[in-house]
Amino acid sequence: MKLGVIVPYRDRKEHLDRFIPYMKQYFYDEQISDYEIIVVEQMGKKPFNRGSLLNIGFLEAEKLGCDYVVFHDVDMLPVEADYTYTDKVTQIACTFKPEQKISYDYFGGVTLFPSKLFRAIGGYSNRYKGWGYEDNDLLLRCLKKNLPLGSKFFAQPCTCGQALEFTGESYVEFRRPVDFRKSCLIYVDFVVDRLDVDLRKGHDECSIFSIPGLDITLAYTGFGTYKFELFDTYEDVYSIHTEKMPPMHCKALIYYNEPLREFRFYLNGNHVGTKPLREGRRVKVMSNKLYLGVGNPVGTDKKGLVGKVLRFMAVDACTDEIFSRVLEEGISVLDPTETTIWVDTEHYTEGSGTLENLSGNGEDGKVVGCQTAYIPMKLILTVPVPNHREGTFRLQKHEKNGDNQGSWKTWETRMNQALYSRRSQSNDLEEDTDGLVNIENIARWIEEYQEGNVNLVKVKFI
Amino acid sequence: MKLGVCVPYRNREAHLEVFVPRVAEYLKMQGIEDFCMYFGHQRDTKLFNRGLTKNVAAKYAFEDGCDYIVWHDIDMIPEEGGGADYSCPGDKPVHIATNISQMNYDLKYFEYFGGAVLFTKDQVERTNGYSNEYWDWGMEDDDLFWRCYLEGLLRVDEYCFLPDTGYLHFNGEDASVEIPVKNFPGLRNFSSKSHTVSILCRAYQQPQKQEIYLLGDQNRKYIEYPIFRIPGYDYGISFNNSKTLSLQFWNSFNQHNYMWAKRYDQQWSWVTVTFDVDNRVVRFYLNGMEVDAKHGHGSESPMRWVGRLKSYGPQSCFLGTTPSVPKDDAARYFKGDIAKVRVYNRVLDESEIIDLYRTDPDPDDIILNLDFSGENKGIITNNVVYKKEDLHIPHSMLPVRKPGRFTCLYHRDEGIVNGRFAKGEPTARNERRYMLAMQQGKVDYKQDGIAQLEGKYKYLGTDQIAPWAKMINIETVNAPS
Repeated sequence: MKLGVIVPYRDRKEHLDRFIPYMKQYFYDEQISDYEIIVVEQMGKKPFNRGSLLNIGFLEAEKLGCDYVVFHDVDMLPVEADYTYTDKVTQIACTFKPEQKISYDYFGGVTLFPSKLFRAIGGYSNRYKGWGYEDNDLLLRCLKKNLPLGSKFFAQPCTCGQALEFTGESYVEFRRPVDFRKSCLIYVDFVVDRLDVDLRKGHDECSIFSIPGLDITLAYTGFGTYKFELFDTYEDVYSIHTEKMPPMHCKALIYYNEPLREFRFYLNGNHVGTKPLREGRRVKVMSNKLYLGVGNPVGTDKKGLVGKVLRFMAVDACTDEIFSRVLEEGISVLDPTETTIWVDTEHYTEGSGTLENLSGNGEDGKVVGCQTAYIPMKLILTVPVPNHREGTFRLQKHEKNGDNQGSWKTWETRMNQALYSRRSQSNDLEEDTDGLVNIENIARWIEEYQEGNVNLVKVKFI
Repeated sequence: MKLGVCVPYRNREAHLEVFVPRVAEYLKMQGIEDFCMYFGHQRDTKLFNRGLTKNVAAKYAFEDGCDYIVWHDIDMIPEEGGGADYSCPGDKPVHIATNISQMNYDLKYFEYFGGAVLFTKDQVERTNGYSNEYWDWGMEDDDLFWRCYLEGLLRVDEYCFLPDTGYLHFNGEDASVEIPVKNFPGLRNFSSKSHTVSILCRAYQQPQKQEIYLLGDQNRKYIEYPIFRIPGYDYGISFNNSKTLSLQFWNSFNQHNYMWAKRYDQQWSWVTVTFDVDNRVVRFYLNGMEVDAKHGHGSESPMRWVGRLKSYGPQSCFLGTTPSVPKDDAARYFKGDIAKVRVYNRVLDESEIIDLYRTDPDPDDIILNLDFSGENKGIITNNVVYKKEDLHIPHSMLPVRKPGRFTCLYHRDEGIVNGRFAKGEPTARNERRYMLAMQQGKVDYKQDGIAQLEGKYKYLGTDQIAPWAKMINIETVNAPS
């Protein structure tokens, strides 16, 4: 089986100079002799288009008779990786030295495709310019053509029954809820259905609950993370993020411990993080209202949740003892009278506008625009992911691309995110007009160079 | 081969959330690809019937194409790298929940058959699954253990086999043997010097005199049936109505000392005790092995005593009785068989004791050597019957086990708390059913089990709660109050 190693490239000469001899030695040691290395270099000043470069490389590989290809970043050197043929689309770059976490749906770096399958899905989209999302889009194409993929399982809570449904505009308002200037505990059982990309904003976020102003909020972000965030009296921000996760059913527990001035965030039983406030600081509380389902009900950026809430509970002046009990055994161990807010959406009557607070220690919630929905018990969320083959790679140093967990590095990436989001929700991947089918129309071959089994192709995009 | 993970379930949502993903992950890592979980979910609020819900889960598992099952508690999670082996059992069911976190990674108790047990379809048919008649906490696991025993599905290792051996039978009414000291000079005061006593015997319960000891019985009492005794403040070896072989002795301050080992009746047992007077150490052996306190199977051995051992003067020794209690007292007569009685004038060590059954005693060491193949000179027998048969001396019967480490998820204790049943009467009822009916052969388990589920529950529907897990919802019929 002949292998084509396709390397998208621009400007990292030190990496390329090291890569080619390293790979030749590696393949020699692994006794892989039937291969071609195809480097596709992008000339000109347009944003780097990894997908298109790989499409071009694939055409070359096809001409050279490669039965399968490996799309290979130039800054990744295999320490221990298996490049032998498999008939499944496979993600090979899984572990890195120095250590780098990859998300569950990572489909970049070093990926293996049987040539026939890459042809069948129409190749990469050419529309992703700059960093990001061309690999996510590729996974959508694999899914659409029913290629066999792997599964990643996410454990969800076992709660089920009637929930309040939020549209992104709807919310529930609680007046005088818990006070973050003292110890308090918040528990919410919720579902995020989806998070839309709004290009009018720099990044996307939906709040599950929020005390607005400098929002004290639990939210799902455009980076796929669930975060809890608050600000201190000097307006410094503190955030705790999970790793990347899909929109799903979760239960979150947040405990603010006033004497220690630290807060803890748990999601689905896992400790996500604990953060202390800086010396002498307190939590900045700018509102005496708490909202479910929006960041702020007024204003253009509501950060509205499209999803559901099943349970919501809050305990004002919470003690360590109550917190440990809830952490150990769940909220069922508490009596509603021990809490400040205890709502049960199971008994909400659609249209009534009032979500009853069963604790007896606080006001009822005012419901605006919410309907009810039934949530079945689903303990496992199955997400299709690329097949994995364990492989360890050494990363060569380079300037970090992508996000820094607050905003996108370049505007192109944001556009990519919007395109990907649109395609993923509509399921129109435009693969009959965008991909291998039109690559020759959008690129100009400038130079081709071959030495032994190393091929260099220079292209410019029109 | 498809594995069915069969779990009784009610009201343990927190555990369900952990169990479904983590056990699936463990099974996949172990290379078991083809499996499904079946939760027998009792939806009514009557007493929880674990046996019935486990049977229901197993029934659906087999109907769903499973070849073998594991009956599994929902709060037991196999630890990564802990060795729990879920592969198909061989010719006997396998118990794998052997090292569990709440018992410091040890067995819950010696005969523990809960947590996780693997059965083939055929083995389920033979035991007829669990009993459906254990309501609320307790003992449905032990009942299954006994069913395996009756079906020959336990490990029964043999300590030794003595063909064609004579023994005396004691009827429990008026049978006894007296061993006068004048006929055996070495016996005088032997018990206050270093010595070894070794007896091969088989005991029978006598429920008409005193019921088998039950934790749930308000009137419970220990009765020691005398096997070998020096009367007075009795020194001796006994069988006790709590299924125990025991040793009692006194020191010169009249302080009572006691050692014991769990043993079912109707099993030939070789009991040996050694007293080392120089070091004041006593040891208790059953079938050649020193007992230990692990798993509640025996007392700590060795044990130390203080002071000097009591002297008994020219007292006769007795087999099967003691003159220390009145004639009509329950503790007066032993019912059972005694095949060999040996008393040595020194401490035998471990290697000598394990080989006792096949070594003839050295005449320099032996004070008393009774063996009932023929008449024994010098003893006085009353109403005993001489018998002869092949003697099989078994080690304690246990399930086949493959060690596995499990974490117990937190839950409130439902079993025995402070020496009493946390759940009170329902558990006491289960105990009576197990110990007094099932273990006494009064229950026909082929008429109470997985083959008799029809009519015992109402099927409410199945929920697919995960790609590999189904919740089988039922309501029980005829639950007791």
